[in-house]
Amino acid sequence: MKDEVPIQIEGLTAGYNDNPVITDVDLTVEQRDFVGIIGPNGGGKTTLLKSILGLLEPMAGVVRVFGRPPHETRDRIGYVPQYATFDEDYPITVKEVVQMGRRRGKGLLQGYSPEDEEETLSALEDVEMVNYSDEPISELSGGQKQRVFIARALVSDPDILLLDEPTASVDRKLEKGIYSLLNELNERAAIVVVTHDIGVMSAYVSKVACLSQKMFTHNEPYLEPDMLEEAYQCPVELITHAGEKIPHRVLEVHDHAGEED
Amino acid sequence: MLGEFASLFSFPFVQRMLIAGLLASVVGGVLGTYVVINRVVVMSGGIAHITFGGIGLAYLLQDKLDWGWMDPMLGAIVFALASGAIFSSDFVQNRVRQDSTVGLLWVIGMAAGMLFLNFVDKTKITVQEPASILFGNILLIEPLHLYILAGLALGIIAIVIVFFRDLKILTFDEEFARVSGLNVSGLNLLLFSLIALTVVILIKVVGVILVIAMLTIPATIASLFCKKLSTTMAVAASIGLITTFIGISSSLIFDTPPGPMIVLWMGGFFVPSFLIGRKLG
Repeated sequence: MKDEVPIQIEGLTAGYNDNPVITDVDLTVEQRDFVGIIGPNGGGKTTLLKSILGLLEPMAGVVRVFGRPPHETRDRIGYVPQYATFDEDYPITVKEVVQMGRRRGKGLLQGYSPEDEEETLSALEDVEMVNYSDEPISELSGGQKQRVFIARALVSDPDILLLDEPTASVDRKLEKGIYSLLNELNERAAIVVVTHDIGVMSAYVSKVACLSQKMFTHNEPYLEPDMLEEAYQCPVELITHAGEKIPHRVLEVHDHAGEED
Repeated sequence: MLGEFASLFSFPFVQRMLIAGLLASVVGGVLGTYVVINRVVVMSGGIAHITFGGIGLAYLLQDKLDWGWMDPMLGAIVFALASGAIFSSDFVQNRVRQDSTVGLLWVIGMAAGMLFLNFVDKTKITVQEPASILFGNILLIEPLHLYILAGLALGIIAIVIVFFRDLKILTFDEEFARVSGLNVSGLNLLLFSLIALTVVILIKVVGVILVIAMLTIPATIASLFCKKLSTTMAVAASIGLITTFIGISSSLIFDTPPGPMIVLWMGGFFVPSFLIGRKLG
């Protein structure tokens, strides 16, 4: 199992009600990869994530997660959704949120075991939030909430971590903290981050691609702000090493034809 | 005075009224918590008003088809469950905006109820006054209805206990529920069916129009103070119990209809809680 490719996508076309949002996308995520996928809003980032999670059937092409259809291997993926999607006023504590990650495969009346409890606390330790375990989620800051949702994904001990806009609502300093946390977690899992804002992510990722209906990748070993802007037609913000070249292993050559927003 | 007041509780109709009120408070607090945190207050109001159509239809069937067994409460249950299923259905949600669906069924239910009652031969069938259906008739509660209420209430609470963890994931983060392999549409249908049945119980106590009060005021007060779902439910049920007891007692003392009295007591509890409770996150 261990040597299976975590994510392999070939010629994927997917969307809603017969309208494709992404067309002919190829993507390979290897073990220990840290992949950043950037793209404008509406470019299909969430569609791609839903396809990897098996929540959306491909219209064409193949998605394989560890060599199997994604709905069969979903338990090996830790998913961190955009936190705007859930209700911030919900009466729930940090520990309860993280426990949800241990729910899979349990019977209706089956509660959480001492082992679940232990794993929950250890995931909270990993994200340095263990002191907040009994706090209501509504009282945390944006960056703290994000750490809790990363812990919820971690608690099932996933081999892939999938994050949707993990830094959308945090400031630059916290953003850096979240990426250096992900960098540590990259020791145990492949990581895929989708975002519309490349920000400090660029300092950590091992591969970068741009998704705007099609997947645009580049064979240059460096990413530069103007190159991203021009080649990918994405609103890109590179703030980390202004003027410097940022070393990256970039995905294979792509076809520029049909490049549009 | 106090002895006189206490002696009121020896009347069977008063006891039935209290038991019905207390059962309603408990289910109202528990399901009301889901209603409040899921922001489906208006939808629950829709379910309540649609049952008026079911009650009218039940009387009409008693009259025209001689279905003596067709209890108005049964008509209410059928209409409530049907509307709960419609509200939770993806098919409808993909075609009509949800609040439009609610508004539409709300008025159609009311209009149908009034028309059905109009066609019932009142010399043959004893029909409750529309006002008592709309504002509650807990004073007139019959033993049979009390058994139905108790059965429904116990069933609802048992199902909530069994599905508690899964419903928590569903109501907190539906997308995560789907990723965790939970049957999201099945759980949504279950939750709306439970809300629908709760609405029917509450209608017996406070009537169609005041259902929203029992469903939302105690849960809203509880959510001002509690940080967990289970404690919010327990506190909401307790506030419901206290206010319903005070409401029923004061309606006996002042000789008023109990439904509006219960609602006003709940409102009275809400104001200070609102002033001292915590702010939303």
